Amino acid sequence: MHNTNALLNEFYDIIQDPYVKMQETKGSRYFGFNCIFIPEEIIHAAGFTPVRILGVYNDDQYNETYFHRCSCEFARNLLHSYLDGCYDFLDGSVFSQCCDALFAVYQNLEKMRKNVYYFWTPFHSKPSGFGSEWANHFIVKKINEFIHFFKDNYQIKITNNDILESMKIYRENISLLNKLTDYYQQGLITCIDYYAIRKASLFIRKEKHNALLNKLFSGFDLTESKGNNHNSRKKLLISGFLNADMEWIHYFYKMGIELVADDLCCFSRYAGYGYPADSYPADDQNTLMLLAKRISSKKCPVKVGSNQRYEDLIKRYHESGAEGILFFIYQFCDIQALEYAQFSHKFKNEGIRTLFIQPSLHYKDSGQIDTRIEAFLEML
Amino acid sequence: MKYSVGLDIGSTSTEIVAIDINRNIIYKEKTATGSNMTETGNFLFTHCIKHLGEDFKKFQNIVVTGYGRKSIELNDVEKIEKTEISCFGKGAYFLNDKIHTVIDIGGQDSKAIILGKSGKVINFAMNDKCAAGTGKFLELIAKQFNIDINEIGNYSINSTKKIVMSTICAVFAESEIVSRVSEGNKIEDIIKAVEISIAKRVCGMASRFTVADDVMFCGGVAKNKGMIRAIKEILDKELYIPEYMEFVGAIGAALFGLELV
Repeated sequence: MHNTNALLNEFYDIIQDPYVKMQETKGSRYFGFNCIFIPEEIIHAAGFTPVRILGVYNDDQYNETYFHRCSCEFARNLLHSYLDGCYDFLDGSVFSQCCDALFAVYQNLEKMRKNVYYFWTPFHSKPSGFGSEWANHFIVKKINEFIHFFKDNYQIKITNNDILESMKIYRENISLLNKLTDYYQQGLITCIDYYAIRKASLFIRKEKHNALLNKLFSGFDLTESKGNNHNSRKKLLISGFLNADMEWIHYFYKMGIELVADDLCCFSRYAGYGYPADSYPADDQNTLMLLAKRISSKKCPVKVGSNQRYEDLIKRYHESGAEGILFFIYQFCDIQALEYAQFSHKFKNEGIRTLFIQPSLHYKDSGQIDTRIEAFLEML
Repeated sequence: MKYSVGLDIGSTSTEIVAIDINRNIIYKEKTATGSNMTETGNFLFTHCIKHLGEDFKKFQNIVVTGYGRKSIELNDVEKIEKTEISCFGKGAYFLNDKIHTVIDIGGQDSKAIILGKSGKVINFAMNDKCAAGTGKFLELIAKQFNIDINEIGNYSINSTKKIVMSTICAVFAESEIVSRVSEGNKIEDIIKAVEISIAKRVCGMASRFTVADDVMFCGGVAKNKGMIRAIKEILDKELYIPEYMEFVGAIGAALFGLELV
């Protein structure tokens, strides 16, 4: 049996200053991506380590150089981080059109940094919007262009077999993360460890993450609870964009919250959707279509219609046994904030308690956030 | 007789209330919070127990609420913390059990609280990180016109002209006010515009929920007649202003303490 704590520390080590470590690593090839709608398997098949770009600066004063203060803090952070050289270790980056602010980041970077790519996916609209047959074919076309990008810029020829091999690894990762979720829900792993392990997958190749997870599971003591006392803590489903910030996970834990399920951009929205089971395993004919279908199955307010989003949230809420939903959205993330405005009355009519908080990306010590959360917990 | 003490430490003022087991308010006092919350809280608490005299030993609980509930340390007493949302809800229902919506405008934030049938909070909204919907905006204007903050509410009754404040930021509003003054507008009209601007923000926040007819307006700003008029105008509803409008949070805190006796 392995030492579980030592294994957990490996995950914690990965998420501690990941970009700084990458900068210091020689011989590895890293490729940045900013969004769940990127076909990450293609980056993987090209031999790069796909790296989720979360921004570097936590100090607000650095982020006003290029963007106005009253705009998305995440976009400001990304642009400043790139232009300040924090991501110079990346061999390339790919952006997807999450919103206008991130499109503006791409437009600036495209002129100032090498190998910055934009991956188009359709928006939600009828009849040919995101999730439709037409949209899936459109995404397949865009994936093909992305494959050519690697050939044109790095002289890397990605074969169908390369992609299939990557998909196999990603499929295993999804399955292992599902197992991790089961362990978490059984109280065998703490909330903080659970999110730290998942966050680690954003910075390493998935085969390495799989190996670590398998090692962790093989050493798991399935009889010992790790202290998830679900009875004394308030169980919440969290939705929105936390930017995988572990400080907030610690904060919620300290406040007496058990995040029993999530609908977060860097966690469930990112890794919670697999390839369609009916057509897997892929062959030469349908490989890219499977990738496209996986992308279009992801439920993000930017791309997916409100009915689907609402149903997805309700399902997560009921399945998780949550007592309420916490909508956590950084300031100026209008798309996600508007979704809450659209849903709040529906949730109220369903008798589901919700709390919407819109903190600053850079400023966590807020008595007012404490008050809102505590009052919400008192209300439940 | 057993007692419960509620202490509401806000950003601007601190209130203390003692309630007996029969739910009678037997002591209340308020003071400016100042820069040292612990000192202010202990100052009021010392006064309170001095007033209660021998009965002091019999009091059971002190519940602390408000912005300073976490930072304060009371001498020789263990505190219980409760948020101002729950305390305002509890206090409001105690003062008037018909109340459905509570609007509180404090020095640093404003709140809209929706109460269920038994007075339990079922929803709330807070305006924070911005002074435009709070008493701080009124303080800024009073300072700018060199008017006593307690008198500012008497001005807008004499307003004769409608002025619209276009800015949503209290700090930038100061420069807009300078412009309005230089245009020759009366102080009364400008103050009314500021009151309407605050009321619009707070009522807009309350309107996220269904605002029923039974609305309580409380907090220090509820002493301001101009603000009462402005909120009535925007909501188009009668307001219930409790006699102890500044003590609603402290009363609620004391009531929570009483439940634990």
